[in-house]
Amino acid sequence: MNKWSQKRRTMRRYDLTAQLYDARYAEEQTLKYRAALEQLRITGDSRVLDVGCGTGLLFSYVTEAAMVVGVDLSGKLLIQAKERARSLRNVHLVQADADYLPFRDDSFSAVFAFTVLQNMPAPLETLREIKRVAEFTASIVVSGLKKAFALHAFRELLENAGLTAISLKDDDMLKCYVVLVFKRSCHYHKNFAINQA
Amino acid sequence: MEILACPIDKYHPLELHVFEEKDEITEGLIVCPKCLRWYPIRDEIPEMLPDELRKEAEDLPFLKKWREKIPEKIVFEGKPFSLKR
Repeated sequence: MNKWSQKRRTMRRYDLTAQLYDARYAEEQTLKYRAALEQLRITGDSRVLDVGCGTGLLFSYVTEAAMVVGVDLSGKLLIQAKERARSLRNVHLVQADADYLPFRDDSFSAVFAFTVLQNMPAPLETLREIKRVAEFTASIVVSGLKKAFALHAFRELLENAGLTAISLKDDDMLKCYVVLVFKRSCHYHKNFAINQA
Repeated sequence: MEILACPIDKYHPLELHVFEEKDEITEGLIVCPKCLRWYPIRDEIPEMLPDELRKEAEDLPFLKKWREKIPEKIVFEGKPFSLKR
């Protein structure tokens, strides 16, 4: 299957099951958000990108951010995300492909990509595109579904994308690894002095 | 708008055309002046997909609906779909 057929299939699958998304994923996603937000701080000047935002379950966890942008391939999921975002200030939605993000370089100070990479035909390309739109000092959180990626392979993927893993959560409760990565070595990072990866 | 770039060639700034507006832009168009790709805004959501994921059957009627408000160059030469002269 070529990469576009795979993407069209993913799009159709989420469009068709959009109504079931929250019932299926809300609990699991919440665990990932908590694991991620233990590792970084969202502040009043944060510009947040949520890649694969689905129905916008993350939005209520990052309300203090100056701006939150949610992107997803599925238009049907975004319609639900729009309803969720109505009560929140400063959330913007765009339908886009994570490999072709419609943003300028260095636009975001925090980027989240939960449960995205396993759906992508070339996860390395996706990570490079995420890296492009993240600021030099951005915090980037990516999750890797355990059944799709062996831990060593997932670490290697991050390294090949030029991302430095700062901390990795691998609790039994989580169906995926939740990894905080930086574009550059944490030595250069203004907010963090963690180096435990 | 200030952070948006064309998903294909990453050009910015992009042009915004507003057709219908309430609190948000409900229908409009985003245009990349460099590659002439156009991206619809429908139900408040900009749809900025690569050509291969666009649906001609949904996009051409949008172009027809708003053709009076869309620059001629986009109506007839825009990508990935345009109207015949």
